[in-house]
Formats: sequence, structure tokens, C-alpha cells
Amino acid sequence: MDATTLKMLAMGIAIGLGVFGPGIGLGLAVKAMIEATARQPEAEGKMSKYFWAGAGLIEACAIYALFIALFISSMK
Amino acid sequence: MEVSAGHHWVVTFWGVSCNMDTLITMWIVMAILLIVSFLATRNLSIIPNKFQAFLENLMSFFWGMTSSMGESGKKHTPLLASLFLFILTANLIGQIPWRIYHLPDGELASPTNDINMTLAMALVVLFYYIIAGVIKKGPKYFLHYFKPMPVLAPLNMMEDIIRPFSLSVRLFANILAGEVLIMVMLGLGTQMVAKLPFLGALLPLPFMFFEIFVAVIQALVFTLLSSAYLSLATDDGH
Repeated sequence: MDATTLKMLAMGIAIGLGVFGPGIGLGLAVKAMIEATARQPEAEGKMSKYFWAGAGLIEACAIYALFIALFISSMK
Repeated sequence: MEVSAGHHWVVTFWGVSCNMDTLITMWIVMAILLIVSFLATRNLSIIPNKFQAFLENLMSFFWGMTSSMGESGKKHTPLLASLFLFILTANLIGQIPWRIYHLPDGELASPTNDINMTLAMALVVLFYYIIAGVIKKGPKYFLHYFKPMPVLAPLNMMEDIIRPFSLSVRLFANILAGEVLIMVMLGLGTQMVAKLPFLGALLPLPFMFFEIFVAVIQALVFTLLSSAYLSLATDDGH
């Protein structure tokens, strides 16, 4: 197994395992958002503000994994 | 096609090396913001015209963010407004076709795809909230490391290091990943439809729409997090 093969393997594992958690996290966030909106449609403005902020934070965790995958590809 | 995003044109000024392409686009963003604010505040009147009304609406959004910090929170509005407007404009600038103009090395793109830019902004936020906390509470501000329990002090100190790091990497990696994605899609598109490269070049279009959305969300998240850290530092936040 030379360096290039290991690098490709590492990139695949990094991004594959890395988006596992944030995917579940975003699903839970959207679930809570839909349930809360169904319960109280008039509070949707405040809830959507919290939702988008939360989604941005959760997405950042997936982006950390992508960043590491791209960083591995640029190493020697 | 070789995908290499984030390759910068490095120029050395008297021993300090700078990424010239980031500096150029950063100055373009600043020029846009200054021209817009100059045009908006030229003939201020009580009954605003549409442009002034739009910007007043935007400013009321930032005043709303500082409302959780109590009465003295209003003086933090310039930092939050500047952060949001600069990051929003900087992220969106990357979607304009700059590649028409060729630099000696590297490409013109968003200034926020450079970790130097986002790290600088995150460090400004870090020093700002520490100094704001010290101004508001005196040297007793540093006792907050020992709340709620003294044994958590190393964790609280680590948080002061992790916060600017996560702020900067979140913004920079989002924008850079978007640019790399668009470049990969472009390479894929022009290769797949090799006879009509024009059609293949339309492949990145949905991703560019998504990038506009990501630009707004990332600017919002950076500013909201900065205001949350600020309100935590200047008060025992709720």
C-alpha cells in the first residue's frame, strides 16, 4: 500500500464517517422544527431564526470533515 | 482538470508575505461597502426614500441582536453590523466570474476562502469580547473561568481557544468547499458533454445557487455566534 492509496483511503473514510453525525443531527433539528410549527404556527418566525442558526452550526461539523479530507489530499 | 482551490498568489512586502489575491478582493469588498453606505447617508431625511428605508430596516435587525445585552448593548452594534455586512458581501463576491481576469498566479475569488482572513476576524471578535467583559466587570471578569465549579476552569479556558478556531474554520471551510465543489462540477460537466462544452458548463449552476444560500447563512451564523459570545462575556447571559 503506497502513499497515494493510503491517502485516497483516508480521504474516503474521513468524509464518509464525518457526515454521518451531522446528517442525523440535521434530521433531528428539522423534525423538531416541523413538530413545533405544527403545534404553534404563529411562532414560526422566532423558530425559523433558531433553526437556521442551529442548522448552520451543525453543518459546520460536516464541513470540518470535508476540510480534513481536502487537507489530506493536499498533503504529500 | 486539476482541482486546486485555495492556491494564493504570494507577494512579499519587506519580509512580510501576503496573499495578494485575498487583499485585492478584500479591498474590492470594502470599496463596495463604503460606496453603498456613502450613497445611503447622503441626504438623510425623516421620510426616507426606498434605499435609506431598506438600510434602516437592516440596521434594526442588528439593534435587535444587541437587545439581549441590556441597555449598554447598543454600542456593540457597529462590530456586529460590520461583521455581517462584510462577510455577506465577501462570500457573495466569489460567485461573480472573476476568472476573466488572469492574475500571475492563483485566482480571484472570495476573500473569505483564505484562513488568514477568517482567523483575523475571529481573533478580533475574541479580543473584543474579552476586553468588553473586562470593561464591564473589571478584573473580576477573569473569575468567570471558575464558575460554575472551579474544577471546570481548564475547560473554560480551552473554550476561549476553541471559539475563534471554530468560528474561522467554519466560515473558511464552507466557502472553500463550495468553490472546490463548483470547480469539480465544472470539470465534470465539460468532460461529460465533450462535444458541447457550453452545456457542460451549466452543470455548476445549481451549486452556485446553493452557494449564495450558504453565503447568507454563514454570515448570519458568524454574527449570531459573535453576539452570543459577547452577551455571555458582558453579563451572566441567559
